[in-house]
Amino acid sequence: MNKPILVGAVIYEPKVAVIWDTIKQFFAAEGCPIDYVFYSNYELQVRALLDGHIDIAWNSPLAWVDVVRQSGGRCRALAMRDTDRDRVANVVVRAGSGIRAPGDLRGKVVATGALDSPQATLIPLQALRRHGLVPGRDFKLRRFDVLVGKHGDHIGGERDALRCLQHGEAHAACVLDLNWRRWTADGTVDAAQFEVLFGTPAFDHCNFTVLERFPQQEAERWVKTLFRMSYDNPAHREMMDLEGLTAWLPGRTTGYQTLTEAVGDQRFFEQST
Amino acid sequence: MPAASDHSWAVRARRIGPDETRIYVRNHLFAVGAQAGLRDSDAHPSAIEYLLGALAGDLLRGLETEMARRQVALHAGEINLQGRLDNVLVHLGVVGESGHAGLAAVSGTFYVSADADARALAEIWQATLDRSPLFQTLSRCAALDIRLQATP
Repeated sequence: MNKPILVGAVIYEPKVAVIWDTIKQFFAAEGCPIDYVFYSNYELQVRALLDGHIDIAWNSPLAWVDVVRQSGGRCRALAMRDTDRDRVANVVVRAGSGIRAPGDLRGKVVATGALDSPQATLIPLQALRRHGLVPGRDFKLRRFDVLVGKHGDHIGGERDALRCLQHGEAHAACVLDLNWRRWTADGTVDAAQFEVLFGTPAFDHCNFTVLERFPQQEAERWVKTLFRMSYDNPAHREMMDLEGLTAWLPGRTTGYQTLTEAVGDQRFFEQST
Repeated sequence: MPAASDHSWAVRARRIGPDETRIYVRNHLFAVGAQAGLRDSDAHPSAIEYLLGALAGDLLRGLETEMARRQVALHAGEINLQGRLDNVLVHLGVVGESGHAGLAAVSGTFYVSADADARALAEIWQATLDRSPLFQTLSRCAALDIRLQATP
């Protein structure tokens, strides 16, 4: 029996375990056994990857940036979901509020997700910084720190930021494009009453991360197996729907520039250690 | 003659496959699936669901017995229960989680239609709870909140 490749994942909701059971069964059936290790937060998972307790980490964008930082760049992104590519964070305002440009947020209240959410906090704050707006100096920040450590995977903080805008307690809220689309479609937010002020530069989301020392041959075997998962196969589709993808794509690392810049300018890692 | 407290109940369990344990008890058998099922559907109920089901069965049967003692007619009875673990992520082995994998709370409603007024029903319900082996066991380790509601 092949020694299983150990894959780490952060979970906050028990149903996610079902997704990983399905992935494990798929890899076993394809002759490339894996096992999973669940972590309560990305800090623990990043440490486990660096210490060699796991082979592959299903990393948030911030966890990827952290691995790059701590490994001195000696890591690789093996694969990602199609939906991880070219995401945008939207800064949303009330329609007719008179806020027509980022500069109009000066002196206003901006609501964000959790402290460590790339999509609902770090990247939109960086975009505002590029427009010359610094929190605390140019506008008041209302941050919703729901389940810090999970890097915004839990959308609670993001939803609370949107509610804050809806209740008139903030002038703008930061929301991932996919969530904005979902919430305007399901009625969580009335699209007629709110509008996107601007979108951040596109960025990439999660990836499967390995350290440089992970054998190339093993990595190729694992990725080849992963890519055999097909949305056209009903047995795979349920899991892929739950995980929010229609295809696995090769990992790319060009989509983390804004986040890397954000954690530097916002001194994120210095403040969190 | 053995003391009453010496009476015990026995079950035998055998592994059938990765998703099934078969339980043999007296002249019966039943299958248990996962410890705590998380999927929308499974081949077999999970252990936690059997536990909740056993509590519901215990209470329904107990209420009927208490009513029969008082010669009160029971027309219909139904219980809805929800059980919650202290931290299901601990059960799943998530590194860094705290708490425990045990049952933390059970809540629900017992709908009953019977020839009894509210006061009589309350007395019967209390007697049912006092004499219920599973309620008396679980209430010592978890918060049980099961409400009796009379229906026409």
